[in-house]
Amino acid sequence: MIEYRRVYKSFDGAPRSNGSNHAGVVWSRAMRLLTSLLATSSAGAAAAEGDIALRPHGWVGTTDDWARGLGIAFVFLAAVILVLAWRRVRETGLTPRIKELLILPLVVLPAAIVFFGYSHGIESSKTVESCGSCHVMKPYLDDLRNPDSEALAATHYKNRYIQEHHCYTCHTDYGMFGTVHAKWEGLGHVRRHLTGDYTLPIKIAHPYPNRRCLGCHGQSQKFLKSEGHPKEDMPKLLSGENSCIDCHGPAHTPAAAAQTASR
Amino acid sequence: MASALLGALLSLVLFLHAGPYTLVAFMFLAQPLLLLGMLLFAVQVFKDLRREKLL
Repeated sequence: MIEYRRVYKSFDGAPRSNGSNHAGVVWSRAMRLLTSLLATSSAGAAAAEGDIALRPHGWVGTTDDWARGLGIAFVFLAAVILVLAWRRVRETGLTPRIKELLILPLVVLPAAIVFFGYSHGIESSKTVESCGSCHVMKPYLDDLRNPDSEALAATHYKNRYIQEHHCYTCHTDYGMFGTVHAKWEGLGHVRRHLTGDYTLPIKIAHPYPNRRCLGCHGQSQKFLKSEGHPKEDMPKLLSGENSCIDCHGPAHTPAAAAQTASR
Repeated sequence: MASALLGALLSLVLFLHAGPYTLVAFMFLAQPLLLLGMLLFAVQVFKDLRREKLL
């Protein structure tokens, strides 16, 4: 809600078009409506991420906001045309005119819906909320958001070392196949959660690879010139023989978060 | 038509509330339903073209 007001206000503050220019006024009003709609959806996303960052002047939403908005619009359009066509078919049968009309909701719009569905769905699956939507992840989320936690993940979260998608950034390899692999493993997580095929406490499936840390830290001077990372140890770090987590861990302290919550 | 409508409505759930379950439902239910609607429509068009001896 805060987000909505801020964005709306910033757009409101823009120089208005001349009152005599009707097209300009209509355009300005349409843009204000569209912006406020997008702001509402992005406000939801921002609130979900716990983010209250101010948006720049003239903010018209992210690509994901647009994908979501267009996806909803296309679903409604397809549904309306299908219902109308259905009623006509019951009255007059499947005439060539109706078949022509059906090209839109049966061929064109489904392609657009699938495109925007993947665009929005894949982007949304990167959020912390998406990872935390399974109840077994709650202690990890609590730990991540606990400002008193000294765990590596919580330190990154509270200091905003990672801007957004905090779980995803550290648990995905870089590049396109990193994303594909992460999504494939994510499907496995959903299956295990649905079937109850997991044991507590949950553990990371594979040893945490150093390349995920080095993707951000690898070229930083703080890493390269640190006394804790002598040159002779670099090959071991790069090969993964020495794990970053060995010295900088633990990555998560879910048990500590659970104790804090129960107090 | 019913298949496409159901597929579209399932997709709407993903757009309104994106999460792991809705994404899986979209991938494995909505998408095949939309594809089924498209295929059945293509079959109907193909039959019409054969009947009109255009193919």
